[in-house]
Amino acid sequence: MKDKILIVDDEDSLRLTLKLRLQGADFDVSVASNGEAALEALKEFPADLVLLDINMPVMDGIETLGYITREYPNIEIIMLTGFADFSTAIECLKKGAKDYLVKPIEMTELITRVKSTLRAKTSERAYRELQQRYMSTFFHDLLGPLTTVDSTIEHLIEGKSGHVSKEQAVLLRYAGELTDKMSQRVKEMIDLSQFEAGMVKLERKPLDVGIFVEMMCARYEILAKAKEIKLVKKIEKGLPTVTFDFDKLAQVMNNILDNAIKYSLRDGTVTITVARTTREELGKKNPYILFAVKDNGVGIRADEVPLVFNKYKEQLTTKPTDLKKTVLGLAISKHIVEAHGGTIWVDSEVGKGSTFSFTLPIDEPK
Amino acid sequence: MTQRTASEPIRFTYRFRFDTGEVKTFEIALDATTLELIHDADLPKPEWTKLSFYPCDHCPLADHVQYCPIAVNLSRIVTEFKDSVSHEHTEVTVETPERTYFKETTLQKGLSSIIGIYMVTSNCPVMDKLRPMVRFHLPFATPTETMFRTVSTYLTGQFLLMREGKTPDWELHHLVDFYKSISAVNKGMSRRVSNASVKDANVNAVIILHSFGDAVPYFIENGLAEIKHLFDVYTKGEK
Repeated sequence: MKDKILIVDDEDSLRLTLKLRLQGADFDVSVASNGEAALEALKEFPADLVLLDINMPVMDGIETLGYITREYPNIEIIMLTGFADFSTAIECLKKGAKDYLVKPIEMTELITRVKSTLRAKTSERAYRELQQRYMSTFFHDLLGPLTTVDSTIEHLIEGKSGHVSKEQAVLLRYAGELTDKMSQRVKEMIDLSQFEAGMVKLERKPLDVGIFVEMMCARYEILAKAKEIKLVKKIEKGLPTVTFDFDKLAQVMNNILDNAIKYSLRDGTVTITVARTTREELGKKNPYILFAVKDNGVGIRADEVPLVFNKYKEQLTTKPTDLKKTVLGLAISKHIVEAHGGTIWVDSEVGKGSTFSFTLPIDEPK
Repeated sequence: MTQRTASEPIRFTYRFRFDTGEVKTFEIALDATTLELIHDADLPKPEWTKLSFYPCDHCPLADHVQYCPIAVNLSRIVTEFKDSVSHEHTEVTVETPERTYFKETTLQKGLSSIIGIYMVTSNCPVMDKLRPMVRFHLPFATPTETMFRTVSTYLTGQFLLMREGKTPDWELHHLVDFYKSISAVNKGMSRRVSNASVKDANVNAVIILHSFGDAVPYFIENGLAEIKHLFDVYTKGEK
């Protein structure tokens, strides 16, 4: 299959000559006349590489670079710049562009740079995929024996291999709990590695958002009551049906609600809000459903807020090493929400509490 | 529009009208025989027009030549647009001896059209090869139109060469070589103009010309594939 290249330049003669030369070098090429047109084009044309002019009307190259690196992290970008734009070109490299070419462009140089950028991308991607597949297999290999250990403990506790004293039963239960925790961690690692390897397929079905949230809250009402926490639901009436993967979204809600209850103080309040919202994208307001879970618990330190959805967050914090744990729930939640075309974020203040929010598109996800 | 006599200069008027209402007009007069630009004696020669200022690779002009002839031809227009942005909207009217052209376009496109005239009428030994084309100047030409005019002009030259008993280059080999040299001039000129400007309108205009020039060898090597079908009437059924 041919590599796909999108040329973004406001000058039609440049677009045409670049296109002809790249087609001649056996690339599949599409063109766009400004940043906004490029983002539209990318919806239909899954480019491997974008050649992006800096100085354009409507939406310039720097703004477009920001959008593409955020929305399409797998696309490589080479900036096209005039002679006076060196400092801007360097700024673009800092913002995620892979390379830049100075106009007027030598065609041989262009084709060489495009090929080498794509080659680097292919080998990097192949290595990453291999590593992710290896990790996924490795965690599956761990899960099998752990399940066997768990059922063996269960078997012993039930006395199926002979009498178990009270003291032995307590120790076996403790070993069982640890095995469960370990299995849970391994399952999380499998989930995360599968998302990262792009191996997860969502099983989307049209579902009633209101009913979904009620179902999720039912379990937590009991837990909240036990901790004397008030659970308040503010679910907008007449919410539309949204197409999503029930089990995966339940995982997200469980993660967020678990945290809200866990970090809320006794007599606290957890408020769940579900409502319609819109998000401005490329000058257009698109409809979304907003899910927000607010607690008035301990809150998160300002320097830790940007790390909340990062799988390495514990390693990146200033905590002593022996207190660091692997906490993957929110990193997985981010993958799930984004796979549905939504966004997840947190607002928090120490001593006042946190609000975890995410959105899901009402229309078909992009 | 009055009829021009054979010895009268060939005149082009380029008029740029901007959204602000400002109008900038450039009158060009070419010698009817040599097609050389007839310029005012007081044409400015700023520092960047010196031959030694970012010279083109393999410049054939002798060391005693103080000023780059192309740069001198361009000095007024480059100075005029040194602070302009390439994609600024403009209405360009071009009056030629035969007709008037009008296009709503970007400044870079309008500039590339007029700069194209200045570059081939300067006595630069490299760009001189394109001078016959200026007599049939086509403002705002597309790459395909430019390619057609380029090949047609060259083949006309080869026909005349043949009539004189010399060896014509029907395979366009030398045209590809010309364009490699022209590409070096366009590149050198874009460096020079870029250093004489604050914003990108001037340099992008030269870059457009460079992209046309750079595409010519490709068009030829590719067997003029983009326009080949238009000549089916000659090629189909002919042995």
